[in-house]
Amino acid sequence: MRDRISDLPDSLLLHILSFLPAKEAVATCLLSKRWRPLWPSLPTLDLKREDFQSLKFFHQFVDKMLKFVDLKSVKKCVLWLSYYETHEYFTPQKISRWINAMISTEVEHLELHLMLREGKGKGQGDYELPSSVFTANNIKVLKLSGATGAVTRWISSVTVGTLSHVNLPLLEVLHLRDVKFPDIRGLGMLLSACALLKHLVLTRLCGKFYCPLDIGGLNHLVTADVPQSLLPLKVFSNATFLRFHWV
Amino acid sequence: MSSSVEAITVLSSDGDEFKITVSAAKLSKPLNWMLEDVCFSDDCDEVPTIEVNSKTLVKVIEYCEKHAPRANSGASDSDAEELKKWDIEFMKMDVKDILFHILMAANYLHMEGLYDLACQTAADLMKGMTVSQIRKIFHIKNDFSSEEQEQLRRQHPGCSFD
Repeated sequence: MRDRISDLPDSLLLHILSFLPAKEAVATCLLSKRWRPLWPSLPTLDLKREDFQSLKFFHQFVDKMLKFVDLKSVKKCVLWLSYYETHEYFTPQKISRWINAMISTEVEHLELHLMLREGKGKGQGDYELPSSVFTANNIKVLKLSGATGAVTRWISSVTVGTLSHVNLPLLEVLHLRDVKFPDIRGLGMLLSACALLKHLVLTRLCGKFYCPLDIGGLNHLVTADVPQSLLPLKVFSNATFLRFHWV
Repeated sequence: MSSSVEAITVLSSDGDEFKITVSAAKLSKPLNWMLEDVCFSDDCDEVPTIEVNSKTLVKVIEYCEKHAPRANSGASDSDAEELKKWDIEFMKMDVKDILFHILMAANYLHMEGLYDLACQTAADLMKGMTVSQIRKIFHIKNDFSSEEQEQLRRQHPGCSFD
């Protein structure tokens, strides 16, 4: 039987690999010489802690990917961090370094799912997202989530700190789940800056919000799944799908 | 092109004639350009050839006809669900034979939906498989020396190849 798949052009093989977790996509380098040089041009990096036997291997793998992958070809980055074993802990510096490396690219789709364990040191309770996430001007899709029920002891909240500047001019899809806003102005500022936003999901946000938030823009909103009365009704004037839920 | 034309005739690379409705043909950029450029009225003899074999073209047209109503008018969530199920059934095909032709055709005809669907199908065949299992599925010949393989394994710690 003929090997037909290896006859396909690089772009097609890379698109096939983009549907695999990064770990499996890289492993295809061992298939044959035809496949060996492909992985550094992967368009999607789907990095999941669960896919690795140990935290050490995961660290090595992510560090290596972000060093050797041609970041210009990466369009989508998905990072899943979860505390897998009791003593596992990601240092905030490490996570921020990975995130910054991802958004230094021309990435259009960024997903960060951070179910983190609290550090033991002082002030290592919450994990504050690097502000660079909110100035990544190529991003069209941004999905951020923390651990469900982050109030639980030992589990770290994912927070958005005080934002001095937001620049997400191309953002069309925004999902925030289990994210904490210690400074309530942050959410308003973020939403006001997304002029092209079409799809918005806000679930289980944590923070003292004065409802409705005073925001401008959002004239292009098509679908929204948001806490009841969090946003002024005028922003939904063009929406075709709306769901309100209790915070 | 006359606006009264509802279906066009195209030739496969095997020389067989196929009919495709105008709305379905619009799912492909090159076919769409053809619609704009070529005369498809009754008094025009020209039948454009599509460099896709007959067996594959039947499948491609089937996909286009199914997806055209939704692509042209938008649809409800239930339609989208139904279409997803249809896609899964549609891709249940002989991998070694037609999947590669579908991949090439979707690439050549710039059909984003079918391209993603076919690539996803190929990826699903690889998911969770070891390197030697993937080689077996697609008949990929291992052309590495054992030293080269060892070196690659060392270069990618944490990657499970077996």
